[in-house]
Amino acid sequence: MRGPLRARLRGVAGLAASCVLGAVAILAVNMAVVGAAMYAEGLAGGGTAPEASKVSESIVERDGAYAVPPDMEQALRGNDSWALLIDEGGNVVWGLGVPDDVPTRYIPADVASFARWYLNDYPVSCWRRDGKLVVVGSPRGSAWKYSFSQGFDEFSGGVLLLIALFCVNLVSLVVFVSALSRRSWKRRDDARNEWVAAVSHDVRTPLSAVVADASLLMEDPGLDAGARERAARIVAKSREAAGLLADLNAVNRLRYAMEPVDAEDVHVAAMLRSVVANFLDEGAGACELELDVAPAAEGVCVRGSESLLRRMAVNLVGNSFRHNLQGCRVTVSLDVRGGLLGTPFGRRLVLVVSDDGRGLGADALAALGRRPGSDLSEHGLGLVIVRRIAAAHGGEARFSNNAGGGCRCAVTLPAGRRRMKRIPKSSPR
Amino acid sequence: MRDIHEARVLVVEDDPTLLGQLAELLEREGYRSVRGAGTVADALLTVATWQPQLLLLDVMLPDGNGFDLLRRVRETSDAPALFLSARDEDASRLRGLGLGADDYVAKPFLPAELLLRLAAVLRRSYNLPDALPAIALGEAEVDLATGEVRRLGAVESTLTAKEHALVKRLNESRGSIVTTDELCRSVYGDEFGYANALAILVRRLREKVEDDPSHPRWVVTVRGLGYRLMREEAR
Repeated sequence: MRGPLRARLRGVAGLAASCVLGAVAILAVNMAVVGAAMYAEGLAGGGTAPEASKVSESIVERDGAYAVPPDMEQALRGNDSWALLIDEGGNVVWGLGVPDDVPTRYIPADVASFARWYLNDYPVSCWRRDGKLVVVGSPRGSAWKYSFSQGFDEFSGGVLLLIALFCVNLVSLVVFVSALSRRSWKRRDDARNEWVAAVSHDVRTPLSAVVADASLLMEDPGLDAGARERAARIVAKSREAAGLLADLNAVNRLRYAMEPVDAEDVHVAAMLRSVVANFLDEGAGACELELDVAPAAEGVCVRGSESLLRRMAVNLVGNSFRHNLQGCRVTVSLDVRGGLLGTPFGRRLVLVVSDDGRGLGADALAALGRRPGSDLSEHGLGLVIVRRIAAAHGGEARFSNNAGGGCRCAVTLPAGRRRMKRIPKSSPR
Repeated sequence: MRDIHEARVLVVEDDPTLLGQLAELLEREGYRSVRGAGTVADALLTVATWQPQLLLLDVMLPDGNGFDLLRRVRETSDAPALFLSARDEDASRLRGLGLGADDYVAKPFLPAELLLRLAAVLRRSYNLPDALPAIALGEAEVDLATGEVRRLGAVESTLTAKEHALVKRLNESRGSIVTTDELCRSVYGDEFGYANALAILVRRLREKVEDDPSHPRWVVTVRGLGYRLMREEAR
C-alpha cells in the first residue's frame, strides 16, 4: 500500500499545484479582458460628456465674462451636454446650453445633493475652480450614478470575503478538474479492462473445447497408457494457460484499483490449507511441501478477495515448484505480527513462502524490488501479481534469497478481525 | 422427474464446437433429452416450445448475454440455470444480479467437474435423492443410504448424523485431502472453532470403520491440513 499511497499523494500534490496555477491564470486573463475593455471604451470616447475638470480648465474669464473655446463648446453641444459655473453665493454666473428646467440659484443643500446624485434628474459631474463650481450635465437617463463609501473595518472584512471567495473558487476548481481527470482515467481503465477481458474470453472458449476433448481422451480405455498420458498433459498445460489468462486479467483489474472489488473476510489459514492440499493432491513432483500455521494466526481474517489471495499463494508455491524441477523443500508459514503497543491496531498477518532451491536471479530480484509500475518485465507475471495483490490488500510482498540457498517471499497483510466459534442464540446449559 | 437423467437440458453456447462437445458429454453421461441453441433468440424459442428443466448458459452470446437471457426466461420458467463463463468478473456480477442462477463454472472446465455440478443442481432443484453409495473400506462397508457399517455382511454399528456427514464429505473427494476447514463447514456449518470437535468425531468414526483405530488405514490424517479417505487400490 505504501508505494501506491505515495504515488497517489504525489498525484494529488501535482493536481493541486496545477489547479492553483490554473486559478491564477484564469484570474489574470479575466483582469486583462476587463482592462482591455475599459481601455477600448476610453479610446472610443464618443457618447459621453467632457469631464468637468477639462471644462473647468478650458473656461476663460475676460472682464468678468466667461467663455469656452469653440472645440469645447462643440464637444459639449455635440453630446447634448451642458455646463454652468456657480459662484460662492450660489448664483449661476455662466452657462452653456443649460436646459430651461435647471435652476439659476443654489443653496449649499442643493450642491451637496447634486454633487453626489442628480441635478433635477440630469446626471452631472462637478469640479472646483477658484472657489466657484463647474457643473457639467448630461441628458437625462444617459448615465447612472452611484455613490460608494466604506468604513475601514468593513473594507478589511470585504477583502477577507474576497480572499475567501477566491479560496472557494479554487477548491471548486480542484474538485471539478480532479473529477474530470478521474473520469477520463476511469474511461481509459474501463476500455483497457474490457479489451483484456474480451481477449481472455475469446481464448478461453477454444481452450474449453481443447480441455473437454483431451479430458475425454484421457479417460478413454481404448487408448494406450502413453496416449492417455499425453492427453492428460494437454489438459494440464491448457489449464496452466487459462491460469495465466486469469493472472493477466487480475493484474489488469488491480493496476489502478486500490481495493479489490468484491471484498469479504478471508480466513487466510483455511485458504492456505486448501491451496497446499491441492498442490499435494495434484502431485508435488520432486518437491516437498509443508505448511506451518501459528496458533495465533488461526481464525484471523483479511478483508479482501479470496480468489485473488488464493492466486497469490498458488503463484508463490507454483513458482518454487516450477523453478526447482530437480526437487526442493517448500515451506509455507503463517504468523501474526503484534499490533501497536499490544493492541489489535496495526496487527499484521505474515505469510512466508520459502524454498531451498535455486533462488531468484539477481535481475529478477532487482526487478521485484523496484517500484510497482515498472514491472511486467522479463520476470513474467507470476511474482509480479503477488506483489500487486499484496499491495491491493494494503500489504506488501518482499522477495529475497535465503542465506543457505533458495528464495523467500514474505507477504504482510493487515490482519482483520479474528473469527471465533459462533455462539448459538439459546445455548443449552 | 424421478431421475436426473430424465431432465430436459438446454445448452446455450455460441461456439458450435463447444456446443457439440457439451451435448455429446451430456448424452454420454446418460442425459436423454439435450438440445442446443447458439443465440438468445434461439434459446428463447426453445424455452417457449420445449420447456427445458435445466439451462446451461454461456454468458457472452452473439445477440445478447446470458444474464439478460435468464432474466427473460425467468418470466415464464423457474428451471435451474448453470452459467459457463470465460470472464473472471462474471462470478461477482452474477452474485450481484440476484437472478437466482444456481451455479457457475469457469471456462475452461473439466468435464467431470461440470457434470458433478450439473447433477447437484438438478438434485437440489427437483428434490431428487442423492444417489448414496455404499463405501467399501476393506472388509468393512459403510452404506450411506442406511447409515449402517457392515463387516463381512453383518451390521456392526450405525453412524450418527455427524459421522454420516463426515464420511459422506470425505467420500466425495475420496483419495484427495479434505481440509479441516472444509470438513467443519460440511459437518457443523461453520469453519471456525470446531477443530477439536472434528478430531473427536474422526476418532469415533475410526472406531466404527477401522480395524485398528489407532493405526487408521482408511481415514488418514494429513498433518496440519485435514483428512483423506484412502482409495481401495491405494491401500
